[in-house]
Amino acid sequence: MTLFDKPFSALLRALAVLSAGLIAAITLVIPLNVVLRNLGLPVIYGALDAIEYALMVATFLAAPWVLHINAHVQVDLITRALPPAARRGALVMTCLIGAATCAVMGWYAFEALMQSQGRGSMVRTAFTFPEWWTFIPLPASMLLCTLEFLRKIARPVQDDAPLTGL
Amino acid sequence: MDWIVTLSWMLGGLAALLLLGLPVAFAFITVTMIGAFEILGGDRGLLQLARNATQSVANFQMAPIPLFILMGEILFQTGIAHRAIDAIERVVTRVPGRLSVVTVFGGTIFAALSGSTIANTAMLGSTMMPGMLKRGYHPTMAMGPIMASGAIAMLIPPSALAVLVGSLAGISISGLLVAGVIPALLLAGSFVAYIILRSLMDPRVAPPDDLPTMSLSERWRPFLIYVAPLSALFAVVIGSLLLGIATPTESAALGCLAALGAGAAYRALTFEKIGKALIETVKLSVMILFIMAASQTFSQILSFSGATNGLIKAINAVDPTPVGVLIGMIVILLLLGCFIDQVSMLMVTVPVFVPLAAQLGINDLVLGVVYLLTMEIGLLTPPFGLLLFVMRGVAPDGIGMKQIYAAVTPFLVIKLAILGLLVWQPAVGTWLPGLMMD
Repeated sequence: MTLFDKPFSALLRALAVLSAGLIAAITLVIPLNVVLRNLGLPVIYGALDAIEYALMVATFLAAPWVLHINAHVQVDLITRALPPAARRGALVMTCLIGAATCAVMGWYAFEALMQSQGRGSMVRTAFTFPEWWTFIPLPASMLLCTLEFLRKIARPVQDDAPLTGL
Repeated sequence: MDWIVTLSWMLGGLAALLLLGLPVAFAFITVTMIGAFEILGGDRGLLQLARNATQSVANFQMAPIPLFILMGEILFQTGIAHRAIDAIERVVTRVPGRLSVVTVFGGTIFAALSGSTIANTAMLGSTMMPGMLKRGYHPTMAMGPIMASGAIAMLIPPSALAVLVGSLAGISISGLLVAGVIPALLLAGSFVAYIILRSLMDPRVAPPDDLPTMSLSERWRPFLIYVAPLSALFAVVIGSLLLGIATPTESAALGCLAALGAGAAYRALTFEKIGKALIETVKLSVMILFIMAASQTFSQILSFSGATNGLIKAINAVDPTPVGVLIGMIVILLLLGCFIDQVSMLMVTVPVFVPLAAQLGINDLVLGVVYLLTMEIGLLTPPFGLLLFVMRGVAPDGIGMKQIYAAVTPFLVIKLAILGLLVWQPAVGTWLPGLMMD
C-alpha cells in the first residue's frame, strides 16, 4: 500500500504546485497586458483565451489534492456529533458515493473527449487546436479523485479536519 | 416528471448528501449527474454535464476569484496585516471599549485588502483576543467584534464571493464589488457605535486600559508606515473599478502586484512566503471553482424540468409585491445560511431568485448585496456558522460555544438592521455603483 501511497500523494501535490504556477502566470500576464495596452503597444496574443483554459486546468488538476488534504468545503454538523463507529460508517459511505460519482463523471468526460476526437471538432478562438484537448483535464481529475476517495476509506477518521470556506 | 417531484428529490438528495458529510462539490456533482440522466435524456444528459463542467470553469469572469484570494494571502503571509493592527492600536486612544474599536477598524481595513473571512477572523482572533481578555474585557466584547468585523471581508472588495455572485447571477461584477462598500462602512460604523455605547453603559465589560505614554511621533509613525500605504492598495482595486479603467480581473491582478510591491517595500517578501500564498490560493479557489463545475447543468435541470418556471408561477399566483418577495428571499437565504455554506446557498437559489427578481423589477445590485449580506450573516448564525467555529479554534480553553453564540448576537442584530435598511432604502447599495464611469 505504501508503495502506491507515497508516490500518489506526491503526484497530487505536484499537480497542485502546477496549478499554483498557472495562477502565478495569470497574475503576471493580466497586468502586463494592461500596461502594454495603455502604452499603445501590441498586447499578448490570445491572453484571454489562455487564461480561461489555465483557470480550468488549474481547477481540475488541483481538485484531487484539495480532496486529499480535506480542504473541499463540507457540512460536518451531523458527522462530528456521531459516535466513532457511526462516524466511520458515514465516512465509508460518503467515500463510496464520492468514488462512484467521480468514476461515472470521469467516464462520461472521457466519452465526450472521444466523441470530440472522432468528429474532429476544432476550437477556433485566438488559437486553433483540436477541441478534445480541452476535455483532457476533467477525466484525469475525476480518475484521481476516484482513487483518492477509495484511499480515504483505508485511512482513520480525522478529528481535526480543517475549517474550510471563504 | 412533475416539477415539484424533481425539485424535492434534487434538493432533498443534496441535503442528505451534505448532511452525510460528502464534500459540497461532489454532492452537487452527484445530484446533478442523476438529474442530468433523468431530465436531460440519459447518456446524452451525462455527456452534456461533462461538456458543461469544462465550460463552466473555463470562464474569464471567474479569474478575479483566485487573484483576490492571492492578494489577501500575500498580505497575510508577509505579516503586513499584523503590523497594521499594531499600528492602529497606537492611534485609537481615549475611546470606551478601545480594543474592541481597534478590532473593528483593523478588521475593516484588512477586509478591504483581503477577501477571506476565515483569514480575517483568525488574524484578529490571534492578535487582539489575548490582549483583550488579559485586560479584563468581557468575552462578548472581545469575541463579538472579531467575528462581526471578520465577516465584513465578504462585503468589501476584494471579495471573491462578490465575483461569484455577479458571475452566477449575471449581475455586473464591478458594480457589485463597488456596491458592497457603503453597507460595509455602515456596518463598521454601527459596530463602533454599539461598542462605545455598551462600554459607557457598563464599563465593566471593557475596562479602560492605559496605553503607555508615547510621543506624537511614536503613536503616528507606525500608522503612517504600515497603514497609510495600504490605502494605496485599496485605491488600486476600487479606484480602477470606479474610474472604469480596469475590468474586475485586471483590478484584481493589479491588486496582487501592488500587494507584492508592498511586501517588497516592507522587506517581508521571500520566495517561501510567495509559494505559501500561492498554495493557499490554490486550496481556496479550487474549492470554489470546482463547485462551479456543476453549476450550469444544475440550473439547466431545474429549468428543463419546469421547476424554475413552476416555482416562479406559484409565487406570482399570490400576486406578491417586490418588497414582499425580497423579504421572502432574505428569509430563505438566512435559513439556508444557518445550515449550509455560502456557495451552496448561491447554487441552490440563484436559478429561481434571479429570474423572479427580474420579473418583479427588483434591482439586480440590491439583490446582489442582499446575497452578500445574507451570506455574511450565514457565517455567524448559530448553530453552524463557520466563523463561530473559527473563533472557537483561536479562543482560549474554557470558552464554550454558548458564550460565542452570545457574543455574536448583538452584532447579528446590527447586521439584520443594515439588511432592513437596504430593503427600505435600496440607494444604500445602488448609489456608489451609480457614480461609476463607463
